[in-house]
Amino acid sequence: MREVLGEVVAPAAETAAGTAGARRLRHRARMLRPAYWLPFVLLLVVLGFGWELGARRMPYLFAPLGDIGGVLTDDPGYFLTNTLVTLREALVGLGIGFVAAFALAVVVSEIGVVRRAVMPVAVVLSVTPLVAIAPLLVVALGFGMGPKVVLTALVCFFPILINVATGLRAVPAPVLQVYRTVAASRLEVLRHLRVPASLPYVFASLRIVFPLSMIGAVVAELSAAGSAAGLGSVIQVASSQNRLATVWAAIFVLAALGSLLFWVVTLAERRVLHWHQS
Amino acid sequence: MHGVRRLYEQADLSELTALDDIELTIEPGTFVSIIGPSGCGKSTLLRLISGQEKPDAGTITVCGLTPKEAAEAKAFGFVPQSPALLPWLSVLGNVTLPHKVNRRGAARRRSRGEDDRGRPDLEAMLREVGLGESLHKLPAELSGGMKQRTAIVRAFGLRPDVLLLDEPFGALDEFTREALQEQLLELWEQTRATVVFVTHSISEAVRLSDKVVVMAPRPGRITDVIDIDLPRPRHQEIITSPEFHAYELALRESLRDAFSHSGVVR
Repeated sequence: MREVLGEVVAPAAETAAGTAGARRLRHRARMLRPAYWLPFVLLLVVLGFGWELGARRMPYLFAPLGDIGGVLTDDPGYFLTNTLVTLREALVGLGIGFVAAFALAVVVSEIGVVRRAVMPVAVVLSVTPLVAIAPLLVVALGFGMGPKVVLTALVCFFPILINVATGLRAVPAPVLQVYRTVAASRLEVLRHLRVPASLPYVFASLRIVFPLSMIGAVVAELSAAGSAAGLGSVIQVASSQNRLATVWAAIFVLAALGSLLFWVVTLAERRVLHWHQS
Repeated sequence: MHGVRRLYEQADLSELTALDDIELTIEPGTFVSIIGPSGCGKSTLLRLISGQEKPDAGTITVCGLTPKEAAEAKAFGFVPQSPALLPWLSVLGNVTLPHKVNRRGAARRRSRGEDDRGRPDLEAMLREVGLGESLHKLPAELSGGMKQRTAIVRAFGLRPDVLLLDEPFGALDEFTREALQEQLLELWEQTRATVVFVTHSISEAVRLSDKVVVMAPRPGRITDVIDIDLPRPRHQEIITSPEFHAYELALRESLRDAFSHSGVVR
């Protein structure tokens, strides 16, 4: 996966700005070699054949790839609109969840009493499949964007909270002592030490939470029978009408969208965390 | 500076007595080392002086202020054993950041008319210790010695009244260590801050200090104070002089006494 996304693990000594360009060029050259891309392409071909075989043997589970492609090219506007709906739900929910979780993480890291109260609950809720409350949210909030955004925000909230709360406390004791010796205020310690130190943890949580946000949005759409739009609704409606090719087309679009989001996070991480050796 | 600086401590920390009946006066502008075996409360002493911990008994005065007031007035610079640099800031950024926090403290210091030292030329200081090429490098690109030099400039750059160093060269190899001692002395000659230097090394204590305080553990206490009366500036060559050896021997002796009195069996 990492290789497919074009990531190079650079040795720490090579992080200077001057070598970055050269490194990227070298990396490009390597990507052109068959040894680099051939295994992946071969696997795709094998999977494609397997898929076609499956489509013949189990026509109620698989649709032929040609049909799926046909559905996508026949009405790309239909998929685009619904993709944008789902993407918006996912990103708005993620945004709300992120802001709320980050704010609570700051409170939790600064105030011990709150930390001891909140963190055990947060750990339990982060391993609870919160998507299960989707039907309840639909009943309570209706068929609009509301339940999708709320569910996505909820699903994203706890992983972010736990990671960021850990990150904010990841400042080594000697560093804290240096800055406490010059009587830096708590706000200054937070701004100059804790928040930057938490960034690797923020990105770790984003890698988890971007895919989760898609899951949250889609599950909420699936639970809201009769939702007008979104890829989850497309899947629901199409499968009830036995239009398998459309179902699979929507799933492929979701997979592509998820990969795209993951790639964006990785790219942003490399930009922001150039000082971090992971 | 406000006349004589007095550090008078009587600290009784929790059940385990980390420091007991410590009485110590450090003259302004002198270089004092604290030496002693692990667990004798050397680092605790530094945290007490800089106001990070409070003594359970006794009082500490720094330039006529309580340690907390002194810290708020940015009177201290601190160099820990690990360089404790921020990995996302360049060398220059790391050295500058302490000036950006607690600005009110620096202003208060100026308004008292104590001095108007302002921010020294940090780039020049870095060049002076041989980091001129590395101003914009990240800590990950530096060697251990370069990192520790950055940490020292970060502390000196504050133009502190009191400089606290907690085994700053403990993790370095012998050559780097001696080079850094030399640079530390050079920087100190220029600023003449009061230095409290915690160390494990006898020769390091003798080379750097005007006064060496010997401590013993359980409970942490001062067992001896040795004045080092060697001419300054003290360059590399002094290490091989007979006077230097005499002081080393005396200090070694004193440390052995500290051990035997505390009943530590080795």
